[in-house]
Formats: sequence, C-alpha cells, structure tokens
Amino acid sequence: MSDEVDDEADASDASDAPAKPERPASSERSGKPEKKPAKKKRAASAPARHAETTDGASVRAVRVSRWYGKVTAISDVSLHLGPGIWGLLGPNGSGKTTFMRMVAGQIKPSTGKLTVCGEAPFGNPEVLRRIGYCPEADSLYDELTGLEFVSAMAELSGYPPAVAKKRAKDALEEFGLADAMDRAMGGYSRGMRQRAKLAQAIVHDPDVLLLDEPLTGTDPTSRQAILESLRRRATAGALVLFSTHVLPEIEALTDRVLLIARGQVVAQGEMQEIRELLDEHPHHIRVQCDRPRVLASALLASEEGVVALHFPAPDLLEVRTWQPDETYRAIAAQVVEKGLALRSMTSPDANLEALFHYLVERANRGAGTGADAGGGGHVKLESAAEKAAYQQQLAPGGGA
Amino acid sequence: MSAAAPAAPGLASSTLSMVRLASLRTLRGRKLRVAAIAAFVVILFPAVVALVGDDDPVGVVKSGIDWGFFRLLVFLLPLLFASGAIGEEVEARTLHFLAMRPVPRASIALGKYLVGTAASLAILWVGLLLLHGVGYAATPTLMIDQLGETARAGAAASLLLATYSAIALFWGTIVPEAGGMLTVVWLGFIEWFGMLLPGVLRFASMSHFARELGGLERAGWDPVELLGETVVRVPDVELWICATVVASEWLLVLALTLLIMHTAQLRFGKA
Repeated sequence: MSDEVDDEADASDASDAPAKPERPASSERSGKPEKKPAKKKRAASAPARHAETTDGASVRAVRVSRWYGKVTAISDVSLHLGPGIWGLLGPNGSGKTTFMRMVAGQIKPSTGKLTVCGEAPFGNPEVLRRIGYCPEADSLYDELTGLEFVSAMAELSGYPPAVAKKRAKDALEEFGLADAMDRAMGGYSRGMRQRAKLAQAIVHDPDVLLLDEPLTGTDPTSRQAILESLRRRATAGALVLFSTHVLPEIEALTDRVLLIARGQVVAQGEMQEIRELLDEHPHHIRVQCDRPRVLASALLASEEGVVALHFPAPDLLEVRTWQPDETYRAIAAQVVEKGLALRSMTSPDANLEALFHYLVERANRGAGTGADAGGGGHVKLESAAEKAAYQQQLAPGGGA
Repeated sequence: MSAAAPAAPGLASSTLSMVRLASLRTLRGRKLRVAAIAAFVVILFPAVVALVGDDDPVGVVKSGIDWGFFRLLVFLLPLLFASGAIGEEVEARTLHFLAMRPVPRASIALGKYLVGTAASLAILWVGLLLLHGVGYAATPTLMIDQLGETARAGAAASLLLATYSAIALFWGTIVPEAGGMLTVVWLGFIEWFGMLLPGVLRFASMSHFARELGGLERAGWDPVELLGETVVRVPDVELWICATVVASEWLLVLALTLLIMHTAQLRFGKA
C-alpha cells in the first residue's frame, strides 16, 4: 500500500507537485467559480500549460522555492489557482505564510516564477491594487480608530479621502464593526481586531483576497458574517485563498483545498477528491476496554483487514485496518463473545485531520526524513505469518 | 471588481496619504511627548542661569544652543522619530498593511520621514524660541538684536536635523532590527566625536559644517598649539560650501534610503 502511494508522491515532478491534476482554466475565461470536474485518477497529473491571463483572478506558481539562509520555507511548488475559494491547509511552520507573502508581493521567490493575475506581484502596483491581504499577526495601529485605519488603507489604494472614508465605513459595517469604528483599536477584542484586518483587506474590492488564518479569535456570529462575505466575493469572481491549520474552517468555506507540508504542496483538489484519499489509507479504530490484548488477539484471528495494532495505554487498543466496516463488526462481536467491558470505541479518522497527517507522513517519507506509516510504536502486520507470530505474543504468557 | 478600483496612486499622492496616516499616529503616540520633555529639560538649565541674572545673556543663549541643541537634541530627535520609522513597523508586523498597497514603497518611507522630521523641527524651533525668549527676557533690546543670530543657528540646526533624520532612517531601513543601535554608533562616532577631531578629519562630521553655518564657536582640538605655534587647524570653508556639503549628504542618504525601501524585502519573511 504505502509503496504505491509513495511512488505516486515521488512521481510528481517539480512542475507537477500537486497530487491532483490541475483543472482546466475554464473559470479564468468565464470569470466564474469553477465547477467540479470529473473525477480523475490522482497520479495522472500533467504539468500546467494554461495560457497566462491578465484579466481573471489567478495565481500561478512554477517551480517556486523560497529559503531563508539554509532553511527552506517553500520548495519547488507549482500550482495554478483560478477564481473561487481555496483553502490552504497545513500545520504551523509548513510554509503557508511564506507562500501567502510571496503571492502578496511582500517577498520574492528565491527561484521559480510566481504570477498573480498574469504578472509578478513584488513591487508591482498594478498587481497589488488587485490584491487584498489579511496577515496572520495580531498587530494593528492601536492608537488609531478602526475607521481611521481602514480609511488610510483605502486612501493608499488610490481613493480620495472622502471616498476612502465611505468605503471604510462600508467595509467595517460588513464585518459588524459599525458600532466600534470610532474607538481606538487598542481597545478591540481579538475578534474585533481580526475583523478590522479583514475590513482593510477588502476595502478596495480586490480580485485576489489572501487571508492568513482569518478566523482566529472570532466568535460564531462574526465568523458567519466573515464566511458569508468571502462566499459573496468568490461568487462575484474573486479568488479567495485562505490559510488555516484548523480543518473544520476549510470545510465550512470551501471544497477546494491545497495541502501544504514542509514547504511542499502534498495534495490539491476538490474536497471530495481529497476525501477519497481517506479510503486509500488504513483507518484507525481506537477501543478502550478492560482487556485490550484479548481483543487484539481475537481480531487477528478473525480479521483479514487488520494491518497494525498498537497499545497506547494499558486499557487502550488502536487498530489500523483496511476494512473498517468489517473490523467494527468484528470488534462488536468479540466484545460480546469475550465478555469485555467496552468503555469507548472511536475513530481518529472522523475528520480531515487523519488525511492531513497521512499526507504529511507520506511527504516525509518522500523526503526521506520522516517516520514510516507503521512507525510510532505501531506493529506492522503485513503477512499472515507476521500476524500469527504476533498473535502468539499477545496470548497470555506470550510476552508481547 | 477591479474595474471600479482606482488607478495605482503615484509618488506624490501616496506620500500625502502616508503623511496623513503618520501624522495621526505621531500626534497620538508617545514619542512627541517624550521629545517635548527632552526639549524642556535641554532649555531648563540655560533658562535658570539666565533667570538668576547672568551678566552675559548672549553667552548663555549661545551656550544653550550649542550644548542643548547642536550637541544633544539634533542627535536625540532623529533617534526618536526616524531610526524606528520602518524597523518598528517590521517588528510590530504592521508594515504589511502599507507594503501591500499599490503605492511606490519609497512613498512609505518618505511620508514617515517627512512627518518625523517635521515633528523634530517643530520641537527644535519651539525650544529655540523659548530659550531665546527666556535668555533675553531681562534685556528686550538684545532679544530683538539677537533674533537673527538665533534664527541662523536654528536654520543650521534644522539642516543638520534633517540630515541626521535621513541617516537614522537609512539605518532603520537597511537593518530594521538594529536601526537605533547603528544610528547611535554612526551619529556618536562619525558625527559627535568627528566634530571634535583636528584638521581635515573634522570634515567627516556634518556637525562641523552645520556649526560653522550656525555661527557657533568651534569645538574640540582647534586650534592645537604646540610650542607656541598653531600646527593643526581646521581649514576655514566658505559658508555656502558648508551648506552644500550638508545638504548633499542629506539628499544623498535620503535618496539611497528610498531606493533601498523600494527594492528591499524588509525582512518580511522573518518578521
């Protein structure tokens, strides 16, 4: 299993880092959000050869790398994003912010070519006027009011002062800061500060909206307002790229994701396609009971799909299986048959977290630096003989 | 969307917008108050001396201008207002908001420089006029007669202040995380001690030329007398050359700073 996946990951060359094939650029031509394409086999990626555009909202990276001294933040990333909402997902330190900053024209790629709306963004006012950026850091001009701050940003985007003030008011109202816009931002709560940052990002109606962890600190009500605003902009033809390490935030907003780990895009595509990857790696089932070793032994005897067993705690058994449905049934049957006191049965695969770790793990293996899928204390049981031997160890007096 | 967006603003209009923003921040910030307190302390000593009835009010005022303004405030104010203009925003991670706008990056630095220098000059001139008023309070005739001398010193100090502000901005832009320290080193060694050096070595310091412009007594080892003869003397230079040298360094450093600002990535990746 893992060999096949690894080969696919390794096979994606520099111009084709995403695990999913890139979509046609139809959305760029139509100016509307892309529709879900027909499912394609993940490994069959082709290098991006779409025509450059200067009209539609787009982000294109071709073999882009960025490093700071000896530290590589982004490594050989190639991708093409069209209008719509894209989630940039990755753990802290994976390169999300560096990628955002490159797209935002704050820093230049060390190598490779990066274009936004057809042109390189760094120091390019014609591109920057089409980009809105909400940085991750919780930093604002605390001595200014929200209205003064957003008005100033609108002025710097080219609007006359009176128009800038009007636009600033609208933007702040859009994010629910109408009552607080005349207060100094130093007194804002975390969520209000986040919304003020978002207001400055959209005050000039950008085509490309870059949001670095935009929902941090927001309450459910304002979160809903933010999500609604982003959806509206995407529907109007904007490209919204927002990064997060919280999976449900992505799920709430978009079904198109880029997964980034160690500076590399490890997967790209529709959420549904990404979800399909879940079926391509073993599921985890965690069982808490009074005699986990007895249960493990019974499962090995009855279940062909089990590929690994792990005992994270004395009363805990973690099963890795290719056939989750059968395994669930087998566990239930064994609990009844052996009279086990079952306390809980959960699956860590219930959300995208598992997929994310799986892909990161796969990327690590590809880089030759990480632990294997069966590492981390798991016992790999690839053959019937291994299973039998391990079953023996699990038996009372077996010494496992 | 973008069809409704205005064209990217040019250098002049974006600088004006930056000036408005930086003015708001400066007026509400603490630096202005700190600078005002510093200026008050500087004029306090000569004011007290003058008020207790010194026989030589001209000497008291000139000493106050020399020590308080040429040797202290013109060094302190750029450190306060210009050295951190860019660096503080990089450290606070707020520079993204400005650098993301479709403006020439040079306008960001230029707007901040103009506001910082204007604030410094305002404090310098208010301080100078206060010193002049208090110093000559007991001799109204001298107050009128010496106004030209004080204004001349003020003009020279203003030119020097603008130059030092450009130097401070330069170091704060090129090394945002250590702009203040590098400014202290530069102004301390090249400028402060430089104005005390003998002979042509003193020409390294813009302070020397500004002092000549302002009509102040030469400081430091000039002349140096050895066996009854003056052997090392700072050459005399025409006043217009003094003004040209200081103004040239000012404009050169400022232009270099704006160029760096326009092209540099300003440690965005690490901030």
